[in-house]
Amino acid sequence: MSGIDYAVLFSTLLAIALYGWWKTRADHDLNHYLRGDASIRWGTIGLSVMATQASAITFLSTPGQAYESGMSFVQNYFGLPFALIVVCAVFIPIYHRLKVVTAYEYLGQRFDQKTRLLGAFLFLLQRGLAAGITLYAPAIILSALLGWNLRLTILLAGLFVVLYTTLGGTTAVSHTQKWQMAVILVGMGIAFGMVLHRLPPDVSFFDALSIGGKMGKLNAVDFSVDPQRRYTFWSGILGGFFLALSYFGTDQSQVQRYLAGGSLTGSRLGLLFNAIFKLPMQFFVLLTGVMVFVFFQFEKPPLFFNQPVLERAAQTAQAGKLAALQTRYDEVFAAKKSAVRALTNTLDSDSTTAIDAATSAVLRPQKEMDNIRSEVKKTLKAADPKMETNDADYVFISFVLHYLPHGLIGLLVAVIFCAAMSSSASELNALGSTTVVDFYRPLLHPGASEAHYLFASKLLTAAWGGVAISFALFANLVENLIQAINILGSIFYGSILGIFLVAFALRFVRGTAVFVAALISQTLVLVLFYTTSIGYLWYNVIGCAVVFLLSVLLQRTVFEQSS
Amino acid sequence: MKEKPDEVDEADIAVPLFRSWPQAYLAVVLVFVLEVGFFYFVSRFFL
Repeated sequence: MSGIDYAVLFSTLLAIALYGWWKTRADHDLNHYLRGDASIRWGTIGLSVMATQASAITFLSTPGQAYESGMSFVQNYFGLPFALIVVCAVFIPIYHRLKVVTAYEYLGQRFDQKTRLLGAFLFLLQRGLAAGITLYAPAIILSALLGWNLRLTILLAGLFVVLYTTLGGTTAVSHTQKWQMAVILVGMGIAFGMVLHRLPPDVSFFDALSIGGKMGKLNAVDFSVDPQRRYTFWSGILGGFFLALSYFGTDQSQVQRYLAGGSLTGSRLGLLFNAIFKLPMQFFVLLTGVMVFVFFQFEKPPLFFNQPVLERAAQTAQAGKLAALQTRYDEVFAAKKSAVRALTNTLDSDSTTAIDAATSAVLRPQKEMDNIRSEVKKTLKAADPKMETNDADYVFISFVLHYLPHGLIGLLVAVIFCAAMSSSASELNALGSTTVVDFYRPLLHPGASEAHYLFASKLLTAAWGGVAISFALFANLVENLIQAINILGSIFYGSILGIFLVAFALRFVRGTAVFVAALISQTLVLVLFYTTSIGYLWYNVIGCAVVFLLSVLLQRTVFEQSS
Repeated sequence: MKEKPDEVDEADIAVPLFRSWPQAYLAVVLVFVLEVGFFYFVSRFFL
């Protein structure tokens, strides 16, 4: 990165943080701090909800995922619009009617204090750990590729977020997220344009789509009912629905976003904005990854995208093997490039047979390149079993760093930071609010003044920021970061969603029954996690179903007298 | 204590862009169908 990149990066981050501070500089009201003020309208809520969900890993991992295995991941979001409709129709009116600050307050009003505390505790546990990962994930990638100090990178992102989130609360978070999302969308749009610009002059966008399609990367919708396939239309609709329902309906980091501003209409329109635009956004990010893949059909991609790891392995006894693999890789790429050129020329012809033959001529060397890359990963493991062999997260940022002009590199790194900071801000805001509203105010210090709770809210938000930064600084979380976040969420989301669904749907069930059911369900999920290897998305369904069924059973038998 | 429905802000009863909330939800479902249809078209057309 050059001076101009650093100037773009720091001025973007600083401007957004200062805007957040300026917007809330005169605000000393507890209600505004926790719930936001009337200046937060539905457009801001929509972008804020989107920015909360889209973390840095979304923009680092997702294009890499498309590069590796195509666009099928978009199906994971197919259940989201339906879940958001349910949240708009059922969850939001209740939250607004009861004027709750946190989702768990509703559990206290519907059931009892212990159920509220259980819901809040599960949230704090899960989100407190995830907040550290949110900061750590982009820092490890950026520090590896840019040679930055890992701890300084974490501190840079972390301290900015803690500062404006602590000072400005919900209003600052929502307003800064609006601009962070704007930077993200503009940056990703420019990156997409630059990939197309860097394609050979005779390769049009239509040609690029055809090459991506012929090479199996545009597989966006798959109606297969084969349970072995990870992403299908059906698993996306069903699994995605439960995941999105628990995330948007019960996770305070999202609930606080759409309750900001205090208007029912604003909350609903903000969520419906996401119901409509989330899928196209994910599709677009994945398509960017496919275009990067097409770009690397004409430009030789690195043998392994995480260059520092490859260089480290080249210092070991595996150096000779890696050099031999590199030579083979170069030869196969040269052959494939000619085949891709031939395919591009054939695309204009009407002959299906010629196009099929040209496609086969491309797929053969492509398969060989994939095999060589698999060999490289095994060699890296042989060099050091602790080495990270998944380089998908490094694909997009490698393209940015090597093929974008200076200035734009700074903007794209700012996109990654903005994404990390926007997610992190929501998490810290929600963690601080939940600690004050559900624990501090009712249990530790009831009856104090508003000024006291405002100070406590700021202090606890900063404290959670400290926890997240410390966790990111000292944790050793090298592998599978996005998976770690998803697994963590899935372990707890099922039980929490179960409690909420019982609250909405089963009026006869009382607090103790659902509380015991949730404890049993959470224990069961943890036992399953440690003893079996079932797909983590199933924990959402199992946790939710166990709470739902068991609370009915317990209410009808053991706790019948309390009905 | 729960509020009565008539305590809801008047501004919240009106639905900007749509006539009613059920129509808004229906619109979201229709947009979803169009989006998935477009994704399916892209995945089949360039195969």
